[in-house]
Amino acid sequence: MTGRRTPYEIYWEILVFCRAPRSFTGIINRCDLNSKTGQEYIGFLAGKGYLSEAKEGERTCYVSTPKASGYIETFTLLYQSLFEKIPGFRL
Amino acid sequence: MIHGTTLTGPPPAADGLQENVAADFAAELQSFFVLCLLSLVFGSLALAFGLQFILSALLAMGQTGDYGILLFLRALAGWAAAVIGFRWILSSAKVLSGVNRIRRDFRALERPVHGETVAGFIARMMAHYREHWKTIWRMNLIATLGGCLFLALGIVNLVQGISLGYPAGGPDLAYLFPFVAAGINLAIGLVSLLSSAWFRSYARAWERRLIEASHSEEALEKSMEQGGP
Repeated sequence: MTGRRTPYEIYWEILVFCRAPRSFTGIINRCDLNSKTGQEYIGFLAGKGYLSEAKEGERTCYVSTPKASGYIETFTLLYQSLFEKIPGFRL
Repeated sequence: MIHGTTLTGPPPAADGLQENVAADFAAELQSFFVLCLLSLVFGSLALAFGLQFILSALLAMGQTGDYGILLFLRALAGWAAAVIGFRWILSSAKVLSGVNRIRRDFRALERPVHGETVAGFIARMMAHYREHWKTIWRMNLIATLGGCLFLALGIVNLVQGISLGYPAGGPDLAYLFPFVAAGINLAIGLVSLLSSAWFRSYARAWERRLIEASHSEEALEKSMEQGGP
């Protein structure tokens, strides 16, 4: 996902992507972040307990914790409701 | 070694509600894609008609030696149409490329599409709108201007046709041509004004969604605080 995103959209994207353990490089590539902002977002989510670190050999990976499921679910329902509440555009 | 419990397993399965949202999203995406394509076609037509007007005015000036105000105005209208057409093409292509990428990715998904994936695509379209809202509003303005210009060209064609007078030997090609051109220009003008209304309708829907999403941020912040350590 590229373009202008809100921090909440970026948190959601990272958490969904990290359902399986992901490396820092994998996360910033997938979520289209630079190293500095990637570090900030991952640090924030890890600090909140939504991401945990996992060691795969020499590599440090990040993986979403069960705490993240509430946020993912809330986000998903809220964004789906945007299409339920507001009539869509049709030709 | 994994620190802490992980969130694993596939996302939740699609239900009927999610399928409705996915269908609505796909229909809207398709409609906007067609609107952008239509806009690209109209932009090309405006550019072509504009160039044709400039050339015909210049040719008429060269052949008749008449440098009167009518031919000058015709060349000026052609120049305006060409500029509007060029801007129209650029704006449409810019928006179309982003929409096409999203549409292609959405079409490539396996069905049924589960809710999380749809939410991801909604967020992606939202990011696309935030990035291109100025261009979309500009397209609405250009489509309005283009529509008015085509209507004006159509009226000029009608006046030309009427001013020629009915030929004594019955209607010939030279007599019919301005009326055919008028019909084409008026039809393009009307559809162009309609497309401007469609752009406004699309932009309004997304503006409302952006407002709704900004209200949702409070709920997301709350969810984050509740789920925090």
